[in-house]
Amino acid sequence: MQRNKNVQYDADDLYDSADEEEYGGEVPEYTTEDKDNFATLTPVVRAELEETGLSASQTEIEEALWHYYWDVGKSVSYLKNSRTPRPQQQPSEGGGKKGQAKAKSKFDQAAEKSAEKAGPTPMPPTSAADWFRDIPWSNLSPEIQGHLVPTVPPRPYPKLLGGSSKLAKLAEERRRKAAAAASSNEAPSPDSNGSFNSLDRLNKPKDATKENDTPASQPEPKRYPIRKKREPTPPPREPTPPPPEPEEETPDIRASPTGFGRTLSTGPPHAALASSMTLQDMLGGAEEAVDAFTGPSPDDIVAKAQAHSKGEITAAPFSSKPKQNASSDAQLAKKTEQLQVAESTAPKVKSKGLDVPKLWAEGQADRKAQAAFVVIGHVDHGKSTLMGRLLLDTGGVSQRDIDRYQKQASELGKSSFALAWVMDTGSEERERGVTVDIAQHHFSTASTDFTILDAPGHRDFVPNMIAGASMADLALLVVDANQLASGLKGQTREHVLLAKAVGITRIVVAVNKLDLSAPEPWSQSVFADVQIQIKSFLSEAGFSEPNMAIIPCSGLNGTNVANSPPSSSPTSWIQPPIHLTLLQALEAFTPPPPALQTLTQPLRLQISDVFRGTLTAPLSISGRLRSGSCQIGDTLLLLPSNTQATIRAIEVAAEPREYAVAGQIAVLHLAVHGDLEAEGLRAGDVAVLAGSSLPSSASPSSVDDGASAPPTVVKSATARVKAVQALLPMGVEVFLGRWMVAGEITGLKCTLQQQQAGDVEETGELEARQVVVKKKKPRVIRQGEMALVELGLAEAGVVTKGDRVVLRNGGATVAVGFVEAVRA
Amino acid sequence: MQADRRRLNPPAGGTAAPIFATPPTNTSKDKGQTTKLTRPTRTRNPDEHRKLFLRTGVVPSASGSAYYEIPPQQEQQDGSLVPARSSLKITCTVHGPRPLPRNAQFSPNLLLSTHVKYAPFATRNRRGYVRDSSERDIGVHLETALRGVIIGERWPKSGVEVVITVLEGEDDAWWGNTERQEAGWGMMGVLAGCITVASAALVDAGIDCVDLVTGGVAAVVDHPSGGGKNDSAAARGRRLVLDPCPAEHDEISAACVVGYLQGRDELTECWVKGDGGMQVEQLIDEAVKASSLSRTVLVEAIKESVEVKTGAEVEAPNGEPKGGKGKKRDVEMTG
Repeated sequence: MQRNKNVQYDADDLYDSADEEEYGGEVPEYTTEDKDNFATLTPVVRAELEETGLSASQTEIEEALWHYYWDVGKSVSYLKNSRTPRPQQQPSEGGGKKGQAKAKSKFDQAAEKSAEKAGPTPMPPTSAADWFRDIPWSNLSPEIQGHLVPTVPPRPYPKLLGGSSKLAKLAEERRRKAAAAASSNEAPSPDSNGSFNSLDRLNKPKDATKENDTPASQPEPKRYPIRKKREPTPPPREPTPPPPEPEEETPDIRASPTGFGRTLSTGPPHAALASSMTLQDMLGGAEEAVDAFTGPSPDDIVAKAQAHSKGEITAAPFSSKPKQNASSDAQLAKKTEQLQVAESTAPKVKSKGLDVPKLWAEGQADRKAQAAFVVIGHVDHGKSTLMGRLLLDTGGVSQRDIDRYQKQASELGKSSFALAWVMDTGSEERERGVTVDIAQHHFSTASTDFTILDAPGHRDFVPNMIAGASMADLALLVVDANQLASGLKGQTREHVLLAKAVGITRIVVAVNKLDLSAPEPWSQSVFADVQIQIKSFLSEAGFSEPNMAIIPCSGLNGTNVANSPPSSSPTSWIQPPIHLTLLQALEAFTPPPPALQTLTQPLRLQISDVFRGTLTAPLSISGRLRSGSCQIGDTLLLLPSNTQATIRAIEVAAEPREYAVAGQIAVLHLAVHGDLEAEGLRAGDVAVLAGSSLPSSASPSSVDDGASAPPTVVKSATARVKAVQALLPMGVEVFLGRWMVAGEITGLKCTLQQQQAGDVEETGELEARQVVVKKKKPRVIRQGEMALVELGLAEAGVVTKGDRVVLRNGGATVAVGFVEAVRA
Repeated sequence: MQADRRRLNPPAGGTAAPIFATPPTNTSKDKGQTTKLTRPTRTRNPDEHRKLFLRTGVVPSASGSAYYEIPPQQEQQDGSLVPARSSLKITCTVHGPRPLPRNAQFSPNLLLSTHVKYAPFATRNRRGYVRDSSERDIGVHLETALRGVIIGERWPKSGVEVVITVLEGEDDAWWGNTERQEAGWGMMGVLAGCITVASAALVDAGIDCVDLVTGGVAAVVDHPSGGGKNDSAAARGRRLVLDPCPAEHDEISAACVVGYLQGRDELTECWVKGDGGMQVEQLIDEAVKASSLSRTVLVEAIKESVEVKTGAEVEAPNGEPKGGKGKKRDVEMTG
């Protein structure tokens, strides 16, 4: 039923009691209001219908108006539709029945209509064109083509004058008349003469929009309050031709494009219409692309190459030469086998069984002398700088490196330290400007290979200095010509004493910084003063006159370091016959090559450094061979960890060698048997040749040559020391070369006295002196006295008779001496 | 403004662009060979629009695109290679309607965003790669103009982007006039062009609009010399011109841009700049006239593109706004 439908449509609205009643009434009974409406609207509808050449009875019109709620447009279209396209429907039938019948028939008819349009059941298509018939991209028959028709704006057009019914009606009439007039008369209205003033525009009727306006402001029956809420959907627009726009002779302002615009817009505007140009068309070579898939694909080629490298035999589908493949595979297999063999032997380094002492003796003639010297001196007296200069002038370091250091140092504000940075490689060393650890560098002159051991001058790092000095053949003492006094009080003194204590007998003194000497640069008198003081001091320390050389020089400028200064300058007094250059002095003091006897002694090497980690050399040690020799393939016994290792490679002065002999500072790359714990090997450990049994008792070799005594792992020893400070039984730090261990003086055995009378210090070696017991069991050993003391060590280590020992306490050296006897 | 970090920026010190020696404006007669620079004058009538060129579908990858151009109207008079007037060239691409990103808020309407960018070489003073305030200003005005025509509620949860690149902009004043550089008159003409070209691109993209919006610009120009053919005494001082070319006028006192829907006789955008005095209403009228003139070109261009698209002759009436939608046909819906 029509009412029902509308109520559902506005389901959220209130039901009125009047509505409820309405459901019952089959035949609508019109109120006076309704009748009034009929009276006004029926002529209008009739007029509209007549326009299209149709006629309808009064009841039909009334019925239609009633059902469309006084909507003239809808009623007209309904009537029109009901007349024209299909068999006549009787609109004058009973309301409810008619509604039902209509609702049903409409759907049915729509279905029928579409079925008609679709035609008979489609047969299976015979061709592709048939198959795609009626698909939007093929030719559509125009009757099934859908067209989007713009709908009117859904929002109601705002009306200024509320819902005054009479005014609205009048307006409606007027509009209709105007529309009728316009449709009948195509000629432009006289007022639209192309002028564009505001008034005209305001007056211009808005036909397009008002056409669709419903008489919303019509008086509506009070019985249907729901209707006020929403307007019924507008009917389809009438096919009245739209009123013509106000004609205006618009000038043609269309221009032809510029060249630029033409390039933008030439050709079909849509790429879909153009035959697309591919990269291939541009680059050509279409014929190559044809046979792109005849050969093996790139992936196959790669896979094949990989298979080749692995030595796999693959059944390559595109392989053109399978025979060659097979043969190369066989070759590869052979090679692989060889490789495996080599790998399996790798851990076992075969000793060549060289007769090292003999080789050494044979090569003696064409070999340079070699010397390792430790650089000692007070802090800031220019040790590292002097060594940097020495390296630079002898070609041990390139000028480019020096320039780089110069730049970096000046960035840190320490441009004068640039040379020192050759030796001081640690960042902390560079920042603080002091050497901390021993730096090792090599350089060669025409006659000698030198190894520099740059010892730290600062008192906090004396242990490192002892380690360095224990590896050196001679010492280079650097003193500041202008600050000799401070040096002699400080580390100069201590260093000299320690150098002497660790067994260095030869010393070269470089009087540095003479370019800054006080009254004038390069003052000869200043040098003479220093010379006298140094000589007396060194004599006190136990160095003999022929074993010392005093050289004036300047490390920063390089004057008299490697080259003699020019004769026409303030430095003209420094000339070779009297004053050698530093380098000449060092060469002159080079020790003789080790005696063949030393080489035949068993190997003894104290490890000064342990390197770990590189893949090729998982474990390396460096240190000075005190005696004996070693070659690649030798098996070493490392003490006290008591592990064995094979020498894989040897480096001396950063060059690979077959063997190393006593006196050389060598780096040994080891292959450890078994597993050596991370802490198993430390600096200070001793390496000996495995197989040479560890005799528990001292060997019968001479006392002088400590190295000949076999190493023993002990925790206590007896040492003959010379007291630098007064000694009591007390805790000390014991330095045995590189090895530093906490210990204590457990007992004072006796003080000793020189057998010969005379100057004690001048008579050379401590060990060589014949002594007699002066006093047994002293309670204290005074400064300068010699004594035998018992040493107890916190950890077991290798102590050999004759080892140099330094005892320190609280950052100061208390005693120096050597091991007299060891006890297991 | 923060530095543009997405592109390779020019050197910090700037580059030295070639500087062409400007010949003196008033040369003596005996030096005939030096080119004489004279300010171009408006030769067309005050209510005459410059000729336009408009074409849609220039960017195949975009949903819709259009190219708008005001080519040079007459040949270069003096021997100079530098054109006396600018010729407007604008491209517009429309991307969309496309779904909003997942994280965007629900929007019942089509979200419109407009970007207007001058190419760096578009004007005599080089533009930066980042949009400056005037470009954003034009963008906002353009958005206002387009928002009124697009039927946004048909695309909920979607957005459309209108991207405009001004390849050649309108001068703000005659370039030979070195002492006075008032900014802003050129952008009025550019905005009018932007509105028209964006409208064409929207139609090309198939976005439903209530009507075709076109831009028009008019200006109040001062003529101290009283030149021109207009002999009315009232217009001697201040004159209303339609589609002003800023290079041709010594002094522009006001300008107006409108976005006009001729089919509905509505304005979606109206921007008056400067001191229009008593003539503001006439100024707007003139701008509306200008926009309805440019509409003729727009309609033709759209018709052409539709013809190309459908491959069939479409007989849409001249003023028909929905010319792009194929043949009009009422489908009678029963019931």
